[in-house]
Amino acid sequence: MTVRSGWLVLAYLAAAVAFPARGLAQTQAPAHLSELLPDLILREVILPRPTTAGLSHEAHFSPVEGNELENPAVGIVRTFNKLTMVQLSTQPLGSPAGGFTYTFDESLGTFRRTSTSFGPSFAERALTLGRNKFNGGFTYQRSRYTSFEGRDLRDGSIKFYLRHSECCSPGTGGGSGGGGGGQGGGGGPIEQPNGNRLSPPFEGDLIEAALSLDATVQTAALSFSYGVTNRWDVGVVVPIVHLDLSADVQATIVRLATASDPLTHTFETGNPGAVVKTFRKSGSATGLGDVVVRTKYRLAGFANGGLAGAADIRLPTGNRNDLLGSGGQAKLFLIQSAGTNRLMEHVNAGYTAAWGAVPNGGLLSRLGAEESVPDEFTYAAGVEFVAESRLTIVADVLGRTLRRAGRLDLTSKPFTFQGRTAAETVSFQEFEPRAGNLNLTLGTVGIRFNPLRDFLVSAAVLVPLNKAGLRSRLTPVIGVDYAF
Amino acid sequence: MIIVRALACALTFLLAAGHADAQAVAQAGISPAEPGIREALRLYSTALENLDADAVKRIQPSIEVEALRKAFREMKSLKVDIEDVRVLAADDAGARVSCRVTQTLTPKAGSKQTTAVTRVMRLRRHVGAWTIELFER
Repeated sequence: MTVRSGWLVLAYLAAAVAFPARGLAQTQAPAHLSELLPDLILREVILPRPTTAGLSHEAHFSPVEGNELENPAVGIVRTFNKLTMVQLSTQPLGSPAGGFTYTFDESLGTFRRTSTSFGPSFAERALTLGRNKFNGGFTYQRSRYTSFEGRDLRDGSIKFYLRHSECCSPGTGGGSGGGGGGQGGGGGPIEQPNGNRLSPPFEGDLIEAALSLDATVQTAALSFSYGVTNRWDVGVVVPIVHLDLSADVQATIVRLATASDPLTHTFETGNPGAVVKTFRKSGSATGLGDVVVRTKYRLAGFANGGLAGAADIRLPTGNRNDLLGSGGQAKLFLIQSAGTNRLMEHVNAGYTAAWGAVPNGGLLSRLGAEESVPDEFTYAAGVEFVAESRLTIVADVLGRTLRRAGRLDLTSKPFTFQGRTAAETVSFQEFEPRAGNLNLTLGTVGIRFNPLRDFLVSAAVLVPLNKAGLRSRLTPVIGVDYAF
Repeated sequence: MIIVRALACALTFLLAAGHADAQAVAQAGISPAEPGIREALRLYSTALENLDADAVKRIQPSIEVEALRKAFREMKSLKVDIEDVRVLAADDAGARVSCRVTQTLTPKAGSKQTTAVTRVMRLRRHVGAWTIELFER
């Protein structure tokens, strides 16, 4: 076995250990992870079927089951789901190490190390590998998301309010179901919308759906880079992605209008105290992510740095319905780097054009029209400190502006219901979608260490620097590189 | 006429013999300057092997000594072999020399690597000692 093939085997073994084989896209229903949250929040939260004949309230808080897709909860959940999907499927990947390039400098009459630094972890530097140099690497990163727009993802503080279906008219015929018939006045309500949620009064009730979401993405990536010329590198990154989604919704019936008739809306027929029920759904998927083809060309060089242009093409190889890929992106960027022998800086700035669409199959196609994955402005700036010949300490700030991705702002919203004598209003804090860019800022600190020969071991952590969007408290990244 | 032809033949023979002698001298590497040049190259190779930038500068005054020091800082060791030394031209003041330089680097970070290049250099004699003026290639 050659060193090269041995290295490949080692990397794949590491991937196999990281992601025990489970087959592709093992999820509970629904079929795809992209539908999991809308399915849970907008379809699963239902009341029990009545045991007696009459009006059923079973699906009155489920916009999907009740076929009331103009319900405001639909737009809020859909935007939340879209922002979550986009971020989960477009995570930044680590950069291959520049490594151990020594060139024979004719003016010095001996070897000179091209750079004393091993390069940044998530950004790029202008230096290239050098002609016929080859670099192979393996990285593993794990992100467990803990907050969204500054709200904790796992403690139920993200709340959606499921409005009762505007379903019924007071009516005169038929009996009442679920104990709710007594409020119609003049007879039991009938399933016929009448244009408001004040009459019959039970339409003023809500279900507060408090979401606890555990989203973990693990990515193992093999990368290969090759110096075609002294100025031009090409490379490929092959990620294998494992995504776990587990969501709980604690549904609480808010009896704004039926306090005096608690059997109208209950999670247990005949039990007025059953106002809380937890709904749970989870799924996972493992598979090839979006393969990235990379190229970098050094336009100008100077001591310890230079100026380079680069392109990363994310091929649509990952299953986007399971959030393993985004459907394809092309990132063009400029790289500048410079510095002294001990301290180097680098700056990257670029634009990412996406040609994929946000998943819109199955249930999602009922909730709204297909939307594109947002384009991005990206930037990175950082420093590399050469602590000693075998050790480089790196720190970066990484920024992404997802253009027109949309945002969700927490606002106080009024809910009107029929009180004892007149219409009344209460307010609850809920997300409200709005147009706008999503600005994500991450910081990274790490080390790159050369333990022996041409091996390089890297370790870094990614931390969010702002509260926008989906955030992972700490994303550890480890990697091994080998230069041939 | 016969005498003239005989003299011409004799002259041609003598010139050819003289040229052959010169070639033989060159091929045998017996330029009078060569011992001094070989000593300079030995000092040069020792200075490189010792990773001693100041010693290299004494043999090659034009070297950028700071850049060389920086290069040496990344080296654990350097082995230098200078072979196939050929004095292409030499006089009392200077010489043009070709040689094959093989260097094996053991860096502080990374693995051992070797390069072998044929270099052509100009040397200058100053106060009886040879120094490297420049590398042509």
